[in-house]
Order: sequence, then C-alpha cells, then structure tokens
Amino acid sequence: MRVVADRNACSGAGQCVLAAPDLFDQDDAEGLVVLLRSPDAAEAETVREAVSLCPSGTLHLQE
Amino acid sequence: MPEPDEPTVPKSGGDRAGNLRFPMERPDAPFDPPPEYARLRAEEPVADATLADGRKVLLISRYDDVKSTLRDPRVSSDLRKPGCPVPGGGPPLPEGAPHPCFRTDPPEHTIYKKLLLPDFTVRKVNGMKPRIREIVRGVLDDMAGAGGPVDLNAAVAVPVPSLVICELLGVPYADHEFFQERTAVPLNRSSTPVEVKAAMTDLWDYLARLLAVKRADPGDDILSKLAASQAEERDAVASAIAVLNGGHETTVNMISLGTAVLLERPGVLAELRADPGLWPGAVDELLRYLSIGDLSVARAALDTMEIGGRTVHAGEGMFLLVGAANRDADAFPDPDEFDVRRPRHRHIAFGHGMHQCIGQHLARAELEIVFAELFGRFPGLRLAVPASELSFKKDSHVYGLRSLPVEW
Repeated sequence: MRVVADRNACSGAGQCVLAAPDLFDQDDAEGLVVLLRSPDAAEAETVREAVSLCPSGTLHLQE
Repeated sequence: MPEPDEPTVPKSGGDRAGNLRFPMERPDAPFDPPPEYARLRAEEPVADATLADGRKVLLISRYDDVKSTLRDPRVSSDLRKPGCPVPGGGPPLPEGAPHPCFRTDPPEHTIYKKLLLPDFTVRKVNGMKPRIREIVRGVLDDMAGAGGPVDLNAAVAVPVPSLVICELLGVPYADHEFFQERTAVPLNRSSTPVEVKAAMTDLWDYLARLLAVKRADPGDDILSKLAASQAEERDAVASAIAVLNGGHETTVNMISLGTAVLLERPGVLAELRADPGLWPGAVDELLRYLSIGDLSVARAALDTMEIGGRTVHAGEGMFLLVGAANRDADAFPDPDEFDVRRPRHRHIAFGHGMHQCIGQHLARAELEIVFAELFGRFPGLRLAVPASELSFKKDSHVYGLRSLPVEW
C-alpha cells in the first residue's frame, strides 16, 4: 500500500495528522502535509480513514 | 417567557407553498436543530428559502451534498460575490466595508492561509497546551475564590478564549485586561448597541496601533505576520478581528453549551471521570451534536453546477446547514443520540473544504482542557437554576447560552 500526498491541493486542515499522527505531519513553513514514512500493512485502516477525512482531496491511496 | 429580542419567525419555519423562512426557529429542545431540518434532508435536500429582507437563498441539508459543495471550487465564500449571503442571513455588508482576508477565493485566499496556517497546526497547538492549561487553571482559581453561584459564561467561557487569543495575536500582557473587557462587551446581554459599537471601535483602534508597533518591532505572533504581509492596513485589522471573532464567540458558546449538555448527563460525566481518554471524543461529539455554526456557512455559486440533483446557477446564494448534515442518519447512526464513542472526526461542525476552520485544533484543545479541568476541580458542579429557566441565544448566528448559573 502506498499513500500519495499532493501538496498543491493541501489546505492544511490537519485531519490526517489527527487520524494518523505517526504517518502525517504539517511543515513549519506553510502548515501543509508531510508524509513521515510509508504505512505498513497493519495501518491500512488508519490510512483509509485519513484519506476519507481529508477535506481537500490531497491524499490518494495506491493499493 | 419570550425574550424581548426574539425574532418573529413563523413557528413552522414557513408555509406549505414551500416558502421557507431562514433562519428557522429553534425548537423548545434547546440542544437540537430546528425539526424542519429532518424533512428537508428527506424531501427537499436543496430547498428554496427566503431571508428576513426578502432575498432568496438555497438550503443544503444532506451530509454528502454539504461536503461535496464545500469542496467545489465553483462556490465562493467571498461576501462581495453576487448572491453571497452574510452568515446568519442578516442584511448585506455596506459597499466598501472592510473585508476579512479569509472570505476570499484562491489565489488571494491561499496567500493568507499559508501566512497563518503554521500557527494553527496540530503540532503547534499541542505545544500551546501547557500554556492553555495554565490560563484555564488561573480562571478556575478566580471562580473558586468568588464562590458560587456564578455565571459560568462570564467566569470561564468568555475569559479563557479571550486570553488564548491574546497569546496568538501577540497582545502584550499589560493590555490583557483592556482586551478582555472589550471582547466581553458584545457577548454580554445587558450591553446596549452603543456600548457594543464603542467596544468594537476601541478594539479596532487598539489593534491598528498594535499593528504599527509590530511592523516596527515584530514578534512571533499573528499580528506581526499580518503587519509584514501585503494586506492593506484596514484589511489586516479586519483579519485580526476575524481571528478574534472566529476564535472567541464560538469557543465561548461551546464551553457553556457543552457544560450544560454534560451536566444533563451524569452517567456520561462518570464515564469521563473514570477514563479521561474519552475527553477528545466527547469534545468532537459536542461539536457535532450542537453544531453552533449552523447558520454561518454561507456561499455563492460562481458557475452553473449541480447540487443534490438540482441545477444551481451563478449568483445563487446558499447556506450549507452543518447542523442538518451533522444529524444525517446516512452519515451518523442514531444521529440524535449523544455518544462520546463515535468515530471522532467525521462531523463537519468546523465546515469542510479549503475554508474549514483554521482554528479547529486550537478549539479542540481549549475545550478538552476547559472541560477536564472544570469537572475535575468542581466534582459537585450543578445548575444553580432549573434547566427550564436557561436562556438561549435564539437570535444569534452563533448559537449559545445567554448565561449559565452554576454552583458546586
């Protein structure tokens, strides 16, 4: 499973950081999404939740 | 007993010819949205309605429609765009009135969002929590010292967010009392319109002066960033006022309404005391359940588009009813139940899309800390009047309580 973040679309709502703080963060300069690492298989459900909560369509899942 | 300033809207919210009036009257059950919302979701998910001044708007009530519309770049939140109603559905802003930078479309919106966003990230807010806890404990010390009964609105709900916003904006400590006094005036039901106008003028002049100070001697705060931005001075001040408005009245009302909801549910409070890890879920459930910004999400269509199967034309104004969407059974099983164990972040009490509340993480942090500290410090907290005597802000575009008398 791979998760892709389109920073041009990101509105910095931080929903992904709430859903999966081990995988996502926001940078200090602009507050936009940063991928901390690739999710492992056990985190699939959490990642799906983060993708569905994103209000700007920034996150995409490639399974 | 009816309030003298209660709006005169028909009890049903409109007549049968589909002539809905907006805003609709709140029900006697003070924590629930207008009953008409359930019918709109089921029968008229994109409904015609009329504002007090006769202008027409659309009401969008289903969760999926509200979310997809708020993500659509063909809708604007810019109050200067044709058809865009003002939050609450009141009279339009006068021509040339100062306009907060947040209610703009890209690319203008993107500039300001990127300017302010780093101060509101999850990590930044986590770093502010110790200071927020310190502020809350100070306020609760004062409340304990005053002895009961007190109005929780005045004693806790108003000062906490005001002090937190002082920190964010960069208001010097020596001016906190001035700032607190002035920001409390519009929220005090005994204030006259003249007093409210004078307090807002004081705040405007104060922030304009502080902006000049920050321009010369910047700090690590929002006013310094606005001072250094391309914004004209009055737009920068209007933006600072918008940070204040966005973060003050909303949080004030959530603190007192949330306290009232929890006081009605001793079983839930006992669970929260036994497992403080439930507080974040409880705060999100209060946000969903109360949806106090229900009348605030106003937009205009910029182009012809389809919403919920209906064609909407450029220049049509609309309200996205987050209070209706957050009680949509298609998104939330048993939506009228208050359940602190729901999945936390699906509600759209903070809106959705690029204009989703920039202060949402800060609001959550303030509410979690206030409720946990309040109910921890005063385990015997209770209403000091019968629940039926509580007075609600039925005529305000941000819903709330006029006062919350408590003792302990």
